[in-house]
Formats: sequence, C-alpha cells, structure tokens
Amino acid sequence: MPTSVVVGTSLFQIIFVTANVTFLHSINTQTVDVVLAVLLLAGAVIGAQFGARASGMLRGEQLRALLGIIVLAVCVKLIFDLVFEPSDLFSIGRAITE
Amino acid sequence: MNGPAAFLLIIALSAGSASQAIAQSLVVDMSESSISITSNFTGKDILLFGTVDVPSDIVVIVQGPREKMVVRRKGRVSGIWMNRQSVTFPSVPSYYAVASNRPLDEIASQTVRAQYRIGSTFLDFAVDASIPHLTDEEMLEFREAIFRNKRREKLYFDTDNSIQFQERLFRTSIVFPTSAPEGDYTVTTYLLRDGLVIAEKLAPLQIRKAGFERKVYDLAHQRPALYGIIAVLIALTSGWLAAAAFRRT
Repeated sequence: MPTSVVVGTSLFQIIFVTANVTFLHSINTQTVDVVLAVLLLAGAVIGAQFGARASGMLRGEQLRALLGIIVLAVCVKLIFDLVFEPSDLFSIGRAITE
Repeated sequence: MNGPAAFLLIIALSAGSASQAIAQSLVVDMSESSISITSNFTGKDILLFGTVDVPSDIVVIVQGPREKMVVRRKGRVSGIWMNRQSVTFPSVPSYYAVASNRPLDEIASQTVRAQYRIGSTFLDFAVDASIPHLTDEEMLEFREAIFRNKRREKLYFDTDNSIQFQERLFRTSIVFPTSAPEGDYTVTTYLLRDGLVIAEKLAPLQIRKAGFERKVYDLAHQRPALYGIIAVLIALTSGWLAAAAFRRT
C-alpha cells in the first residue's frame, strides 16, 4: 500500500476509535471538555488542511521518514521523563471515590 | 466595590454604631460573597475589610471545599522513575489562604495557634488509618508535598503582612485563581490581642459556575450520552466544514 494512502486509512480508523472513546468518556466520567475541544479543533482542522496539501507534495519515502522522526522524538521524550530524576518526586491528585 | 469606597463605608458604619463598639469589637465584610465562574472567568480578587476598636492583630483564613487527595512519591526502580508510595489524605481543603498583619509566630504562641488551627502548620488533613508503615518524618514529607504542589497551582497562600491597617481599619485582598474549584468556602477572621484570640467571625463565600459554563456542566452530568454524541458531532462537523471551506478556495 502506498504511504500516502496509509496515512489516510490510519486516520480514518482513528475516527471511530476516538469517537467511541469520547462517547464512553463522557458517559463514565463526565469530564469531556467541549469548550477546550472547540478551541483545539479550530487550530487542528485548519492545520490539517495545510498538512493534507503539503503531504501531497512529498514522496512516500519522505513521508515515512517524517513519521519516523515524530515517533522517535516521542520515544526520546518518554525515555527522558523516565530516566532523569523529576524536579519534584511528589505529585498530588484527587482520590477516586468509589 | 473599590478600596476607597469600602473604607468610606466602614467609617460611616463605625460612626453610627459607636455605642456598640465595646460589645462588637470586630466588624468584617467582603466586597462580594459569591463568585460566578463564567466562560471568561480569569480569577477574582475579593476585598475583605473591617474595623477593630483597639490596636490588635488580625488573621484571615479562607478554606475551600474539602476533597480526598492522594500524594504519590516517585522512586527509582532499576533506573526508571515511577510512583512507588502513596498516602491518602481524606480531607484536604481545595483552597487555603492565610493573611495576617504580621508573621503568625509574632502574633500568637504555638499553643494558641494550634488550638484555633491558625496557620498552615496546624491545618488538619485527617490522615487515613490504612497508612503504610511510614515514620513521622516521611508523613511530614507527604504533607509538605500537598502544600508545595498547591502553592505551585496558586491554590494555597500564606502571606504575612498582607493585611494593611489604617488606624482602626484593616483591609486585605483574597486572590482566587482560574482553577479555584466550585463549592462553599469559609472565611474566618480572628481578632487577637496580646497573643490571645478575642473574637472570631465566620463568613461563607460561594463559588459557582454560571451562564454558558453552567449549562455545559449540567448537560454533561445530566445527559452524558447526549453530551458525548454532541461532542463527537462537533468534532466531525468542524473537520468537514474546514475541508469544505478549503476545497472551494
């Protein structure tokens, strides 16, 4: 399957996963922040249009390399957070009440 | 209500009730007794003001609704930092502010402050009985972590010298950040003289969501399924709208 098509099919199936999660999340925890989502969407949907146009100008190998760089960058960030001593060892959070 | 106007009001009030001054040695009021969280809420400062009959010390303690909190401590396991220990505190104020006209240890002794729970040192978090065997020092570290994290979130304040006196009138402003949670707050004003608590005034303060913010919150809690579907539809239509708009140009 050509790389340019892979991006599309992958995003297409993500629609169903995320829609499902949004729905279940709002039923179970009532913490889906629609106002925040709208603010983020405004940037995301417009950015996606430019992204779609830009990806059309790139070859398959270039797209794959870019995707690889993003995945590796996330890996490096995760490793950094796990291995280096955090500035505060303690964190606080609201306890889940059963 | 702005500062100078509040002061004039207090002067007028105290002049009218001069005969009752002995019985009523402490008069306190706030510029507002409720805060509405609307969609453009960016925090709020409330002015607290009052009078005393003779020179005294004033301590104001504001507490937000209490909630159950977990404090987690990270430890190193084969080179990786992960949460290892946790302690649950069943009753932690979501917001806590102390204001005084001079440092608390100059105002009253440890004993008096402990008795009235004046100051963060004497704040009670009601420790859980099912605590893993920790030493007192370790417990203190977990307790301190709450203060440190809450201060970082601007939800806890200890500010000496934040109450200004002008003769017998005093004033201070209480700062509520954007993240101040909804609920019932209490504002307690202590009047101290020669290290003893002479008078104590308790005033309620409410923080509530209002307007559009309230409607969104109510819908999410009362009709969660509908809310979820709306959220998904918003996302889908905004994506479709953007695609349609860009196709034409």
